[in-house]
Amino acid sequence: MHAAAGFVSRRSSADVLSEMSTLIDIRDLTVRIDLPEGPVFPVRNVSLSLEEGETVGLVGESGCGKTLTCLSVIGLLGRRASIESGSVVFQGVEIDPDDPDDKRRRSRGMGIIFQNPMTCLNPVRTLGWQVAEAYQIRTGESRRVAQRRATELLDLVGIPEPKRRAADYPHQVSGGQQQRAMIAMAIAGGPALLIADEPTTALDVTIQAQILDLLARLQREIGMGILFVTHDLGLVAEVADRMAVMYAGRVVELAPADALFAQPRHPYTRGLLTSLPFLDDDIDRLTPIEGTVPPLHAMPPGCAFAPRCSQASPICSTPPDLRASGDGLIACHHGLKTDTVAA
Amino acid sequence: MNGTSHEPAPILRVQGLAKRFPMPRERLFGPRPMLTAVADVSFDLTAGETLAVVGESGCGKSTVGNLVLNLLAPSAGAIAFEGEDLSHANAARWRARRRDLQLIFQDSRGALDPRLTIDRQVAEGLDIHRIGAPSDRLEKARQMLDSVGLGGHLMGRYPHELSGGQQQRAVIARALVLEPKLVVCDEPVAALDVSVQAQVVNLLQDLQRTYGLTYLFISHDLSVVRHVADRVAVMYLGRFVEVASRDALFSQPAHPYSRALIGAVPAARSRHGRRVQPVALHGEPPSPLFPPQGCALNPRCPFATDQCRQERPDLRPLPGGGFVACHHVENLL
Amino acid sequence: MNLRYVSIKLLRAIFTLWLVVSFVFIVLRITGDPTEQLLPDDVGEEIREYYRILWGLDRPVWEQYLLYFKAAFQGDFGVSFRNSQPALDLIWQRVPKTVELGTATFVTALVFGIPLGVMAAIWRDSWIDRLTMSFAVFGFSMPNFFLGILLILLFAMNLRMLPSSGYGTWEHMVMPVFTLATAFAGAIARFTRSAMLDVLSKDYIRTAEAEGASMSRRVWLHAFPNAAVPVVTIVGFSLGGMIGGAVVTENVFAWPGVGRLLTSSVADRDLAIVQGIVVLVAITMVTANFLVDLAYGWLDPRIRLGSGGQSR
Repeated sequence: MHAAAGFVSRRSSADVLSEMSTLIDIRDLTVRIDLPEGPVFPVRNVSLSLEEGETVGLVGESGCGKTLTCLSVIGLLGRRASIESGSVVFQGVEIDPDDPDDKRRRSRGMGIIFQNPMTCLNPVRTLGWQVAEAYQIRTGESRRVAQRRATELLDLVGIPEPKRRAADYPHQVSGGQQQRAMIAMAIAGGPALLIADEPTTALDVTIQAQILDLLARLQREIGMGILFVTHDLGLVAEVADRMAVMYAGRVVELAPADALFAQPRHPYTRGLLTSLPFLDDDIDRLTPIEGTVPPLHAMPPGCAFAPRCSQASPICSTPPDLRASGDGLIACHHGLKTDTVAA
Repeated sequence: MNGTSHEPAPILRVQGLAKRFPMPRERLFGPRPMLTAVADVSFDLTAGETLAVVGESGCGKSTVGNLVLNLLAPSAGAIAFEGEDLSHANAARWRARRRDLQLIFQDSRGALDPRLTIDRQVAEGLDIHRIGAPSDRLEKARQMLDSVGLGGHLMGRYPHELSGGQQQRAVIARALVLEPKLVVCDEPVAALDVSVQAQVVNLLQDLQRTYGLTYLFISHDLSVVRHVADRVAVMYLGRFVEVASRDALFSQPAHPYSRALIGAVPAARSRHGRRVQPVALHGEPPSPLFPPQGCALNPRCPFATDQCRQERPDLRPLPGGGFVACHHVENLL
Repeated sequence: MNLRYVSIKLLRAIFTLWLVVSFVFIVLRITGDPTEQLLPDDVGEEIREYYRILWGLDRPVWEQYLLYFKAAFQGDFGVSFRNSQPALDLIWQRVPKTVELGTATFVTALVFGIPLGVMAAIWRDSWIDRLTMSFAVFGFSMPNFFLGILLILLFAMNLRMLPSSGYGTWEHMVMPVFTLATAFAGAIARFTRSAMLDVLSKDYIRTAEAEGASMSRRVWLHAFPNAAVPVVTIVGFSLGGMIGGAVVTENVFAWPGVGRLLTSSVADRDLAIVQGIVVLVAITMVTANFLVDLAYGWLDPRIRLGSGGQSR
């Protein structure tokens, strides 16, 4: 419980000391999307912080709001979605989605890579052109300097023969090389924060391992923080210092990566781990989570997981807050019981 | 089904299967390059067992599934189902046998007709194959849907009214209502979320026990394969490089590529940490249009020698069971 | 550029031309004796016989076909019976005037259509978008002759600002160009809009936005080069419609171009000229399609470089 107290105070405090090392602080973020049938809130009251040089894993199944959380941080929500309430503080300054100067600040301080590099690269521009542009926009350097730097960046992300590959179009190189080029673009400005949204999901397992190694090396060299978004619990355990598990728009558990894996406390996290086949167990049947995620327009008023939860009780009709449990935080009314069960 | 099998006749015997696709010419009157998607693939399937085919995208594993079902015509090789040689069967013969050989694939949404309710859709297969009396077909379809967990009000729904997991259940019901003997499962759970994936994996296993199904299970997800398979074939650039029992492969993979694949699975996907020391492969798979000479893995393999660069290793039996295509496997184990 | 790609497209263009020219030959044979078609009705039988021998109609069909092709290659489509000049010379006199009108129309349509379409896509559902789309619908639902007459009534009759018809100064060009370009610009704006909407929703535009690329950079350096491929397609297709429109417009404004020559020749049954114009139009269309194919390759590296054979 001592560790947990430290966790909570670090998150909730506004004291100057912690502000200095906190890279990004998401406070009570709610995202709204206007649909013809009415507004829905795919991200609800999410609070999450990331220290300089730290890797935080954001885990959850499709539609849980993890990608929208990232897009709010970098200011790419688009036309239909908007921040309903809450704030995102980047390097001590609250971001303003509509201010062009703030947008410039964010694009210099952050880089983002997505799941599918093939669709994220412009098909009619060469890799070198795109990396050079990413550098040029952020630094204001000349085209010539940017072109030279692009070759260096392609080399830095482990693309062999970078000079020749710089003249290639995206369709001419493999998926792994495309993702490397995307990473080169994302780190072109020497960002303090890299958002990696399912960066290896579209790649084969051997290439996936290479990309993870690359990200780890770049993190050491550049010293950037990484917000690593994925549906793959096993993968994120390899790379993250801390992990946040999201379900139906809310963070339901936040804990150090090894603690979360060794002793999951939220019933949803536990369900995820029993659903997952392991390479070395000889269990006959997996234990899935029954049922499906409630649709956005029909969220239960209380805990969104209650309809699928074996521990649900009448108190679950009120939304649970995140509170300390073990080394982390969980949003569950039955937290204490969970502790005893797990212990 | 029958764990005590004393050399039972295989339900499916595949020998020397190959598929080459012609590619566009590089020059106007130049030679037509051939892409070899599958080369020299042979295996037997015993009734009731699950053989998994694993490998990375583009290795030809889905092509093997399509060839077995005659959705693609093989360029070479023989396919015998229940002792009947189907490699020269005509279209009518295949239609008659198609009932016994069914496919479940990844894209359940694309596999379902958006304009039909799912019970009608499942009954359609019975109509096509004229199974049972027309009046009983809808009832039979509904029983099948019930047994895949789509009971009650769900069976009258249209595909878009169902979640991804429910759609995949409908696809499974549509394949199984014909009472097939062999089902090719091509990445059946790859598009599903973890919690739903477990539901569908359990369902596939339950149905296998209930109906005595034989599965050819094509997947890139090694932990799912570890959970469902009896035997595993590892594929690289169109060829089987290792075929072994599940336990042997996952505890002691012989081929360097198998070791790389299994070793690349994040350690957190094993309860007791990694058992297989990963082999780091250099670079990425080459294009199947320009396969390397000799062993296909040689440009990436840390153990490659001159022999590997010149001679292609054959798939040969190992003393401890299993087959492997590697010149140096004895020294590596 | 990929030589194989260009040579395939070139072969296809030549093949299409051969088909069209052969088609004209066949039509002329199966519609009866060309001397009856091409000569005035009141000439005597000896004169017909003279022309039959002159045109080689007494020889076997395959020989006629070869002769016809040889003549077509040399631009010899026969002699206009109205003033006994070679048909090609008469047509060729008119070509510059039609080219002038066509080029002005083409440039006007692109200059208005593309920016309007792009703006409509950027500010989707705004007043610019609605205005552009209304203009586009107006443009291609308004028949050319009707729009032309309206313009004459307004600018020539009432306001007396522009000459109602004829050829010579830039003022003569304003109304015909406007008439022709309206429909063309409308179609281009509409296609540019939908192509841009499609491209602007792509992931790589989001990537550029994340890097901090400005709106104009995203639109003109990232999105437009991708949207240009479908736009070029519609420009190529619209050319056929524009040629049809030119015939009507030239007549409304008494523009002395090929279109006007065509209508008068059809009325006078001057088939040598009609035949020449048909082949000329076919050559224009085939050339335009060939240029569109080349433009695809130039715009899209996936077509230019082929999809197979990753370099590693």
